[in-house]
Amino acid sequence: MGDLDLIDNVLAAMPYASKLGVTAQLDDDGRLVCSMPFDEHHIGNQQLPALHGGSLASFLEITAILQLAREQAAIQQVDSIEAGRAAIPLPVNVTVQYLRSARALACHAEARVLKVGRRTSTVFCQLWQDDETKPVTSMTGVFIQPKS
Amino acid sequence: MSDSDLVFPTLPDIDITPVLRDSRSPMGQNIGLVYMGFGDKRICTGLKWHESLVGNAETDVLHGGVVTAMIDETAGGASVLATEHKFSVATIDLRVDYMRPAAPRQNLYCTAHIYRLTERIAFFNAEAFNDDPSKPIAVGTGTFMLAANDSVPDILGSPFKAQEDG
Repeated sequence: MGDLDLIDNVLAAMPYASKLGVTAQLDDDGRLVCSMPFDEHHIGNQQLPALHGGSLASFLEITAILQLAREQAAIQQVDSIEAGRAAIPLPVNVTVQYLRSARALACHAEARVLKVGRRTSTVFCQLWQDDETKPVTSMTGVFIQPKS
Repeated sequence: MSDSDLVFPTLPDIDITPVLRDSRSPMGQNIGLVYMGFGDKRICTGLKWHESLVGNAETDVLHGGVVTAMIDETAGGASVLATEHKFSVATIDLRVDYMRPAAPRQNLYCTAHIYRLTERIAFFNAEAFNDDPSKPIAVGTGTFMLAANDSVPDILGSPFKAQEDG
């Protein structure tokens, strides 16, 4: 099973990711970039307008889960859709920093797994909008693998 | 079941004035967030379980991001309440610890309290639970910046102001 198949299957098993419109792309270097289109339902402050902190945190958590599921699958040689879905990591905690106001634009995010452990894994994730050099939100999350 | 009405559980030793009003933020409405009560620098909210909010279709448990969104908005509301509606607010940072998995197909409740208010910053803590406030499924802590913009969006509105005016 290819990387993108696994990612698509994990996404398909996550209804909330579909609700937010989250998609995933792999570039030529194998880098996973997730995207969330602008949607007025994601707004928190209508007067600015600015996206809701909760929609940004949700998007980052989904991005972190996808990247971690991908790296876990590579280690464990997950080769079935069922195993891929069963491997959706569970968050222990997330810490989110809101660096800039998120405007009425699409969001993109990339996650870096800082450490894959047998018990816990730590993932750092960054979100940007039209300029990748200007992070809008960042997140560090600790995850555990579900018991199989 | 999923269509059961929201009933905010009693918080021991904390006085809450009940209200019932949908969130005014688009994202709050998107996840079905309902304002259910307020107290001293405190806001209480609820949301109904819905299959579109699930994080893993095999378990029917709400996605962690839904819990984070709920905590963010509830704490934001508590910040506006604590500042007596004088400021708009923006989240600076928040941390959420997922203490135990949410029960499948169960409604979720949240209470957020501003435990310290300075000229520019509101510090909050929050808990989310299914039906027993003593067994939170998640606890959150974080900070909001006050007066994030010049205009003050009326995110809370009349039920929350009525008591203060009276």
